[in-house]
Amino acid sequence: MKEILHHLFIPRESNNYRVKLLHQTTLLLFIVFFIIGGLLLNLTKTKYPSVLGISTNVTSEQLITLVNQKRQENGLPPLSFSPELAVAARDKANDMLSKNYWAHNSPDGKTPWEFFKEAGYNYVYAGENLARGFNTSLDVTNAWMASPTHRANMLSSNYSDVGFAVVTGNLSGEETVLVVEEFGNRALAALSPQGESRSLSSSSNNSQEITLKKEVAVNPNRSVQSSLKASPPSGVKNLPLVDSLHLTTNIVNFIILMFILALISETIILERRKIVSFAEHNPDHILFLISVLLMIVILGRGVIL
Amino acid sequence: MYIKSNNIDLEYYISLIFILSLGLFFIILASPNKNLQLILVLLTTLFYIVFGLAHHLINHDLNIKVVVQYVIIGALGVTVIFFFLKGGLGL
Repeated sequence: MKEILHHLFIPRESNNYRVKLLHQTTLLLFIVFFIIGGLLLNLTKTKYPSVLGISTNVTSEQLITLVNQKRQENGLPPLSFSPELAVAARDKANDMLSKNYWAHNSPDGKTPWEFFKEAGYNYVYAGENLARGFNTSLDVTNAWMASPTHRANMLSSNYSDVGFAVVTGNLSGEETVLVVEEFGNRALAALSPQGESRSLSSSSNNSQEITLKKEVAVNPNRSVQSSLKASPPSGVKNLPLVDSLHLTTNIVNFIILMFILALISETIILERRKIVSFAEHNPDHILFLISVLLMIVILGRGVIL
Repeated sequence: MYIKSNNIDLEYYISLIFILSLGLFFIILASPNKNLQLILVLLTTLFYIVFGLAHHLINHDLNIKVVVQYVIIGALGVTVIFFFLKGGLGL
């Protein structure tokens, strides 16, 4: 065993002063492994989703608990779950999937606030947070809390209600979990019945908050009750036997780190022995492989808007 | 076959780090468009290969073995990303 490890990681006469792991044939074998392995895993995921798939557990119950926990930590009153906002969130999520867009406003110009009104929620304050590609409710909440604009929405004292939609669907060719979080406060809407003044403030592309001084435009053409009945499931739970994301990430990390270790070991040993062969190029490859690891991190993470 | 060399081209490595960082930056910017991100991964890898080979060409030590080495390491990086996207994310 020790001999094999030396042959793989230590440059010496037996491997022609080139660690076996970095021989062209070994590298080609790994390339073939990654191509065939990727295709096989994909096939298994499609055929046996209960065995292999992305483990997902995002529910509105968990989300509201986490949001209120964050608010409590910051000395704010908890938000109440609003079925109307949940419907608005569901309609927004379905609109994004059907029209294939990832934005607060739809390509045909429909704003989030129109979904509020259609759901029968007449607001004074309203806000929206979006997330996609996250696998747990905690990851979603943490990502929102890490962004100043989303955090401001979550910790705003202007809101009293919240509603969530967690749906899966194909967005831009990618099967993803979409989370829509709608905030609102309609307390004053019932008090002041006329005139409307809007000010849309967007501190970044990531979040929008709208303030209405007054608007009572009850939606007479829509039955909120029927909409509420058609409310979507409150979350997405998919717990396959093996989590493909963890599996591939662990395999990739292990193999790439093994290569980096071999490159470092070869560079140090040959440098000490004052021998330079291919090790001369090793720092280039180490930097490149590190950037590949970072690419994996970037590609695998969820996105908020 | 083996030549002693203590020449560490600092400028070259700084430039390489800059190129790779730029690639990562654009991949972040392209998020969540996975197709565009994949194109950027390929472009970054291509830059890494071309930049490395250009460096060896300038140093007059470019040979077929060096070319093969850069291409294979580049291909390894791209197939790793393919493995992750196809097998992990199911794209």
